[in-house]
Amino acid sequence: MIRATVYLLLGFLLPALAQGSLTLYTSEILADVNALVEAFRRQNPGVGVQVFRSGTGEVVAKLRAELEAGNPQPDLLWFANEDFLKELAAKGLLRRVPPTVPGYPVQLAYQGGLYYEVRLLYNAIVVNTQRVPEPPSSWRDLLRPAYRGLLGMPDPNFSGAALATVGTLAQRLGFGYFEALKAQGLRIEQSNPVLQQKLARGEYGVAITTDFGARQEIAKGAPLRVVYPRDGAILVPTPVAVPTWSRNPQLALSFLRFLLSPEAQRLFAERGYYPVLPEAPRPAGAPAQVLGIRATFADPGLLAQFNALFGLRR
Amino acid sequence: MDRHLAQLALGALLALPLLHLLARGTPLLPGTLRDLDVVGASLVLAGAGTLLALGMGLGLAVAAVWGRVGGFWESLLLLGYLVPPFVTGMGVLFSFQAFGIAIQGVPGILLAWTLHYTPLAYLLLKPQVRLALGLLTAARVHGVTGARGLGVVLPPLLPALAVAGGGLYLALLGNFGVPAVLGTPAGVYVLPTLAYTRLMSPFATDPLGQAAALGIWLTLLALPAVLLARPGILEARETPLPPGGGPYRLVYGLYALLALALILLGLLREALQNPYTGAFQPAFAQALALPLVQAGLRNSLLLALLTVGLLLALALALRPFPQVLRRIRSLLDLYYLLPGTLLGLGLILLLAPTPLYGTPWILLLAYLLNFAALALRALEGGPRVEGAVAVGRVHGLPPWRSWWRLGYPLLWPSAFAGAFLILPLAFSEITLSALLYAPGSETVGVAVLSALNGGLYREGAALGLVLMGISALGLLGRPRW
Repeated sequence: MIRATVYLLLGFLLPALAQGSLTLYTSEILADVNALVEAFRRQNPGVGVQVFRSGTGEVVAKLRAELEAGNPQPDLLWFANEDFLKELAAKGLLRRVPPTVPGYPVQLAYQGGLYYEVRLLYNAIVVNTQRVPEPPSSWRDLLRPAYRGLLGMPDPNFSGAALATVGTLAQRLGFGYFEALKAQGLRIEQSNPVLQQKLARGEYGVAITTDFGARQEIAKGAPLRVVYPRDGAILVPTPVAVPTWSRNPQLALSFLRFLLSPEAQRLFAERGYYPVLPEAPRPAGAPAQVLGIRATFADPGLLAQFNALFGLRR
Repeated sequence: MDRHLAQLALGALLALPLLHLLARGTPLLPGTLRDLDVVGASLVLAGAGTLLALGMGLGLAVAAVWGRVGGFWESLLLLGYLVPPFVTGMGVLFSFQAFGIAIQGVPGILLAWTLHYTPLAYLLLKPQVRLALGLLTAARVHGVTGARGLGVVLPPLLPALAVAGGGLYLALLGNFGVPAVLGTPAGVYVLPTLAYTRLMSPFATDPLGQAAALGIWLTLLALPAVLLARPGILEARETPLPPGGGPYRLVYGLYALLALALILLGLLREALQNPYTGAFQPAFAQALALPLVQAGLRNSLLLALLTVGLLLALALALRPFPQVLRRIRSLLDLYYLLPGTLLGLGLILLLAPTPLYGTPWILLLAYLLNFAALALRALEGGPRVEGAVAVGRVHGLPPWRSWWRLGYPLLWPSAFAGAFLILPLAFSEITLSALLYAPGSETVGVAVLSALNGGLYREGAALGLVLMGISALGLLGRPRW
């Protein structure tokens, strides 16, 4: 009993004291980041990895608050808010660690490798095949009467991917597109995973959401289908970066290298993402090539307009 | 004089987080005018929930007294209160989903609150109901009939209804878990969830200040009830009652079963069955394999054990000085009665610049402050042992030995009951931990919320069931209520 208590207490204290400990702030899906962390720890026994995981909005908010208090915690950043990374880069707070793996597509390393992609995800149209027999094939198709009242998308205040949807589609099709979607009965859910659960259970028929998450549910038997719009799916930048304040930069670098290793790239494909390295496997049931358009994130003004339109509170 | 000064100093120290919150939030109060609808929603929802729970609790108390319900059925009803509120919320969500009904929003929140807090209303009202119904029986014998019976029943019941109503209103006003599960996803906010949202908003210019300003509204809404709040009168003499009636027992039993079924059915279905293929695939192993969940279970267990151990040690140490115990308890009552969001925000404001922030210790401090009143009350209301101690003194034992040998052994049952009351509450705490946790110090409540927000519905449901099982342990320590 006493021994058990001591072990428990040690378990409580050690994570704070351990030297070989890495703190990751990410918007990566919980189950996915767990799989990666476990694989990393198998290769690096004794290393502790602390993860703060939430929607991009919350992750950025937490980091901003910590920066303001002068006590930032993460050794590694990984979320869907490129503008915030640009802001950090401009202040010289990011460490340049270019991806040196042979075959890495240079266009995915931004600002000369200050931050870069380790796998790709797209915002696409996902349909519940039981509720929608004839899927749309372009973004404009969502305005067809057949989809009225069946539409959903995640909250751009919470989800970085949704912030990319708002920015990109407003730029390409005009903000009127979202006004038309609102008239079509488009509803907003908090996050991509929650939206996908509801879509898979038939609460929605069509959703603007991430492709990999839908593929994960399809693997579990969900009646979903991913449609990449013929006018271009939205490639959502979710780069990884090492901040200069990291107390454990070596560990952060080795985690970065791990993310580009064959094992991690295979894990990404297994979980429905497109790996960045050419020799890595493709995700099951996905086309070999996707016509992607690089996302523009909505700026605060556009977001406020969107919030007003849908009555979202932030 | 010295004693008063010491009490004042302790009071000021304990109030520091709240004062900090008021100071930080006041300048930003004008900015919250756009949130007046949420202030109104908080007030109306908490008020409506209070009336619902009071009505149901009163009805059940009458059924229990007239139907002579006790033992098993009462435990079954009380289980509903021991389950953490956010688990009740999940249960309601999933149960209605099974019937294809989206219950999120106001109806869902009110239903979950009613299910969760009706047993509490019942507990608070039953002794007075028994008294009132006993009086009614006596009055009937003396020829009082019909509506005039109300004149007999109401005087003893009204104070109990007011006290129970005040306590319930405070609990509902400060409840974070149910609106987080059933409100936020549907865009329905109350003050605790809105304060959390502001704190987590990447676009807020001053997240902490804006959350603190909302905290002031929460304080304003809570204050009248705090000033009125008094400990429930839980002791009443047995009074003569008419012989028990079967129908009442049936109504009571049906409610207890239905309430439990509404929570359990959805959780079981979600946790056990693949929603797409219908195959039997329990999600417990997946849920428990998540590192976040393992850390959450470990941290929550430790925090709960430390909280209970430290608080009961404090209560036992203070017990020989009943005056001091009562004074300190009445100061700490504030943190039990006031919404946890206020304590959480106050601690962030107070401790963010210190190394304590971002460690599990800030959570421990929050738990200690939040649950102290419960622990002190458990021993304050225990048996009067001073007589036994005095006997020891008369026989020549020094004071501490007299307490050790005679006083404390008599108090163990009270301490035990207190431990079983606090342990499940601390274990599945969510309001404070959602605000104060840091990577590495997640609690199990935070893990469940993360699982839900991350779309891991099935794992969340499985964990909810685990938490329900652990909460049921609370029944073991149940004193004679």
